[in-house]
Amino acid sequence: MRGRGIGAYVIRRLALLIPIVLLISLAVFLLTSLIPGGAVAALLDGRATSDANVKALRVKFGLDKPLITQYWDWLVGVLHGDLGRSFRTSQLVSNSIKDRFSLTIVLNSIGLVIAVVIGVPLGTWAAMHRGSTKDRTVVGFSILGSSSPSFVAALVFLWIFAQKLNWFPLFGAGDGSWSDRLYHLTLPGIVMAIAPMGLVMKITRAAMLDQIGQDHIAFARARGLSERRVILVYGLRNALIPVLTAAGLLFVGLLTGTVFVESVFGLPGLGSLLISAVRSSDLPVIQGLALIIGIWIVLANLIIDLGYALVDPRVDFGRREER
Amino acid sequence: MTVATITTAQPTLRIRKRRTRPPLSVALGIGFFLSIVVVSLIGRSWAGSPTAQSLRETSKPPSGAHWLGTDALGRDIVARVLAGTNTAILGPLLIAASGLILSSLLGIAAAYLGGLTDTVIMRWVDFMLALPGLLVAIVVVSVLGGGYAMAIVLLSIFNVQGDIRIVRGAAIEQKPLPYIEALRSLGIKRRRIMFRHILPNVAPILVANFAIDFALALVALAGLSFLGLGSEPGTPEWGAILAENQSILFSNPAASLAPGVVIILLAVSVNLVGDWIYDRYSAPERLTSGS
Amino acid sequence: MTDNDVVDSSNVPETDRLTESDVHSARMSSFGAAAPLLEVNDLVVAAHGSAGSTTILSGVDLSIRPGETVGIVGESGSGKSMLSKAIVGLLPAGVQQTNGSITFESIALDSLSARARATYRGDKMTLLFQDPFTSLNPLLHCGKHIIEGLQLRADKKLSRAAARAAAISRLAEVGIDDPTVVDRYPFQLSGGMRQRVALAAALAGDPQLLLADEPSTALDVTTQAEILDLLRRTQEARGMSLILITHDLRVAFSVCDRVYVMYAGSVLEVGNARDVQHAPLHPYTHGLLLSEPTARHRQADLRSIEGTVPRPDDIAAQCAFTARCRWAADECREARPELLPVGRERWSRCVRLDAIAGDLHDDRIAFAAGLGVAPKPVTEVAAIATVIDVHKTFQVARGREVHALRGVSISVGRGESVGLVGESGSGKTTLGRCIAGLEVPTSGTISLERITADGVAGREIRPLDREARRLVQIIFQDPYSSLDPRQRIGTAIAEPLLQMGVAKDAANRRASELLERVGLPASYARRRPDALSGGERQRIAIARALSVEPQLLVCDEPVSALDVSVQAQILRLFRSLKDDLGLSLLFITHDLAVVRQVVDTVHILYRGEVVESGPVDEVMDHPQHEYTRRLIASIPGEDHDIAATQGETPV
Repeated sequence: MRGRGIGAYVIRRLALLIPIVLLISLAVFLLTSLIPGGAVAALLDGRATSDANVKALRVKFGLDKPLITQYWDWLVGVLHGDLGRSFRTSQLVSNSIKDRFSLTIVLNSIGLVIAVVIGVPLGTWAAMHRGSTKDRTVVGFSILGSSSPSFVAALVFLWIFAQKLNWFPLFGAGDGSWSDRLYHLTLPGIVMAIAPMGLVMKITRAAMLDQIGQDHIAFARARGLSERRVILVYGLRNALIPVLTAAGLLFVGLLTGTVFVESVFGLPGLGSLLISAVRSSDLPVIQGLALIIGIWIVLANLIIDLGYALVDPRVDFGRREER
Repeated sequence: MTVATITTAQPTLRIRKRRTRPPLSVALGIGFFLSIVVVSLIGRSWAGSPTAQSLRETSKPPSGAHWLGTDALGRDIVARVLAGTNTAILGPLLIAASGLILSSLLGIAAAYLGGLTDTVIMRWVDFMLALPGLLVAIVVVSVLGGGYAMAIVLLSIFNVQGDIRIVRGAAIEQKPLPYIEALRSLGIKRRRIMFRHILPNVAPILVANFAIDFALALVALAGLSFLGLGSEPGTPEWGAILAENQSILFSNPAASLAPGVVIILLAVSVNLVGDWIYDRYSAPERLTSGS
Repeated sequence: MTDNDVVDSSNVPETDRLTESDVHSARMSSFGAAAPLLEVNDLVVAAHGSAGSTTILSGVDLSIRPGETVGIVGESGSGKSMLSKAIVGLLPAGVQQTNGSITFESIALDSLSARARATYRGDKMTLLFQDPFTSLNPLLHCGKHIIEGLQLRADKKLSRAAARAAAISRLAEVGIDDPTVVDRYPFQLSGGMRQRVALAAALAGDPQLLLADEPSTALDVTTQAEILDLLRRTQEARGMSLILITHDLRVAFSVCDRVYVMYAGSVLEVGNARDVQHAPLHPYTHGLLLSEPTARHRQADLRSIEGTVPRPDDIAAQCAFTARCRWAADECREARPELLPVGRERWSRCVRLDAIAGDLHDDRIAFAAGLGVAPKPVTEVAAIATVIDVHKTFQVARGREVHALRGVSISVGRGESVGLVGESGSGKTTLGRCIAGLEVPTSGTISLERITADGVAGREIRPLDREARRLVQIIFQDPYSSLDPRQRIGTAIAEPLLQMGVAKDAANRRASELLERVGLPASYARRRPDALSGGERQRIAIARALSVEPQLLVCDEPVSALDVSVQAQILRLFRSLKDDLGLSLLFITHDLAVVRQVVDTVHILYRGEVVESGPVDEVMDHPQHEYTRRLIASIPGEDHDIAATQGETPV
């Protein structure tokens, strides 16, 4: 009953990418049209120039055409893997994104792994010792974590671990070798994990507390099952469902964190690309990034929903029971 | 008065009211928040001008005259941080307040009215929750301009969905309860049921949301100003001050990190309060014996 | 298994008095020849909070022999569930054993470490829970629940196939012959099936002692009887000891060898089931027995015990029952009475035992004389609500439909009391909700007096608006959530009046009158719900419903969440509302005893259809439909009913 639907379900969800991509790109194009003075103003960014120059630029970037045509051209381009050229550097947007994509993925993955691997066990542990000092310590950490903006945490960690203790490099993404890259990305990755980890701890703890109060836990204990089995199979497995629900927020939080962490640590990723693009109103780059981020989010949510099905037999593909 | 209302009213065994008084940490949180409010009201005059430059005293370490030293332009760090208090709490207050109002309206309406209203509201909520609100704010504020006010509007728009979902969840638990059904059959008007009966019973959730929203908005707005968006350069905003003084991180870490530490402290203190209320409400200590 | 002689029931002792020395030897030698399997001595359990500690159990003694079945009977607040948790060592956080001992096979369990204590659960003792909907892990196959119990101790590692086969045979033991249940999830099974799976899981470790906490209470009547029967049979087949915790004396009498009656944290009376049933020695047991309405006869006299259960700490130095006891005297308040033996295997905590024995006996005789009054003959009266061919279909996920009602037609006459009887899924509640306007029928007509509301699917009933709706009011099962916790009682009752445009003063005055009408002091208007008992809340819900002067009261299981000792108060109130105010009642219930007491005409519902209708005595004494017969046959211990006092032999 369950296995059969999965292929069709994934395809249906991937098909959802199309309207979402259309929606996002349309939103960005509409945003463009709202700029005082239009895209050319953004392109010039305050520099004075002759009318002839403006005209040449318009033609070069296709801005002389009506908005709807521009949109159409862009869409056709996207289908061919062409996201246009940067206003600033004239580089292909697709190339800039390709170059920086892996760094951001690695950074997000490090953050996700740390947040889950540390957050879930600590949240569980705290729930098992509700009200004790252990519990209060974990709750304190989780509140501190979720209250710490990544840019502040980044500065604090730079000061402590890079300058004072000199464990990690201060700046940059390394020389490109695999090990050097990891060495450079470890500290930023940890900073990325701080706020999401707080969230994971908090939700895991609340979900575990909820489970611990349930009859099925008490009944499992009354039947003499080992405490390990009770906590893992009866408690944590059920508690993972609300944690998965929060995973969407987790992905979004990590993505937002990337922007700040990359800019403080001077890492050439998508986040720093976005910052430089918005600072210079580089519309083609912003459009390209919005597209990538949209796809990213759709895929992340697909993974979450598949996770539900893995954990919860009550999930029937295509419909998650409202609980 | 206690905030949690779920009690076991059996005349049997009640060890509720156990934690009616907030723990020390929450009391400290409330205290810190209030002191920040007081500082924002009176602090400016007391700490001196945030823009007064003294070119002979640039990048000075902490001293008696400048407790945390001065920045690269010779401005007193303490004065700048204190001057930023106003904007720091005003924006989050507005964002949290809009979240409170909209979520109690839309969350309760979605839960109680159900049907199409619920579907429409929740589809929108799900869609918006999937978007990175702060990134959208970064893009829009930088492309369109509009500064701090625009940032507040955008963050308000993206903040409210989480609240709606939580309030709806709490209200949907109330809806099938006999007391609500009895009110329906007694002919009490829908609006009254929603806002005079359901609303007070989910009020603790609203307060908790308010606190948590405040902290999130504080961090988000500081993030925008850290990136140089949302305000004029040179304005004493905590995020902007932090960015200005990034360069003196290694020479005068205390001064460089001060605004960041204040952000964290304020967020922690508000989160402590919100978390405490939420914890009490969603997991009340209940103990019944017998059937 | 060979110790069955100790439960020899052939020599039922009379309640003859023992000599002083007998008393002592009986107390010391713990009930019988065989060594007890489990012994609880002077157990004190208290909850600790920052506000101090609250006693839950104040000195409980209990013992059970191998192969014996013992019932622990008590209402809410008696501490019976906490006792079972204390025995298996699973007291909730913040609750601790502060005195006394729990001994299992001569080992003092309470002196063991938590880890050592855990080894006693599973293969020595285990606890079966009330609610099969929450006691199984929703993410685990049914078979897995059993297999993990089979493999409890390391030496019992089984191969996959062997484990599966074992699970199937364990399911067969609890009456599940379908082997595919092993691979199903709990949510795919009915309540009765889940409870069977839970029992199989509990028995997987082959425990010597099974504690079952209200194992049938969450289930339907017919399923209840099956589960109780199953428990009794497995207990016999395994020669296992069974402690059955229940609020229902009839259930305890029908299943158990011996019965412990608990009240406010103490054991008040102990004895063989038959002795306690026929000649209760404690006024509480006596009162409880007479409070239990019978399904057999209509009672002229609906007994209840006035007042509410006190907190154990408030009655620490007196008899727990004093405040509610008709026979209370000064000596009852002087000290906490001891649980003293009064006969073979018979104990009571009443100090006035001898003085009141005659009174109790006379009272029973008098009560029995009042049984069997005929209800008012059903006469033709103008119908106040008429339901014609109503269908209700619910859309559940994925376009699946549930037909809750399939063409039901009934009518309720002015001043008539009509019963809707059925189990879950019968559609009885749906029908009541349709009549109360909380649900819209898919098709069919519901007419209220002259106003007809034709149901239109998908639209809320708003027939001529609120006026029509107010004609029918509804009383719900759960009194604890029937009132807005934030609203004062007076405001709650006055609110609908204010909405109707009544002036504030008049509304408040009316609220006071209504409070008195339902038997509560007018001063309750200023109170908030959280300080009130279930019975009081149910009265307030009734007063609030009466505020809009309805003509029909739909009562959806209005007493089934209440303790037996207060149920009758509410039933009497309903009787008087009908007789004095001429109110029509629609009683929705699964409880045939309640039906017999307050209903004139009864409709039996089964899967959305009325299968039998008629005057209550006719239907219950001469059931025609097979389902009705099954319902009546499932009433626990009805063959042991109160009339047995007059010499009837229990089966």
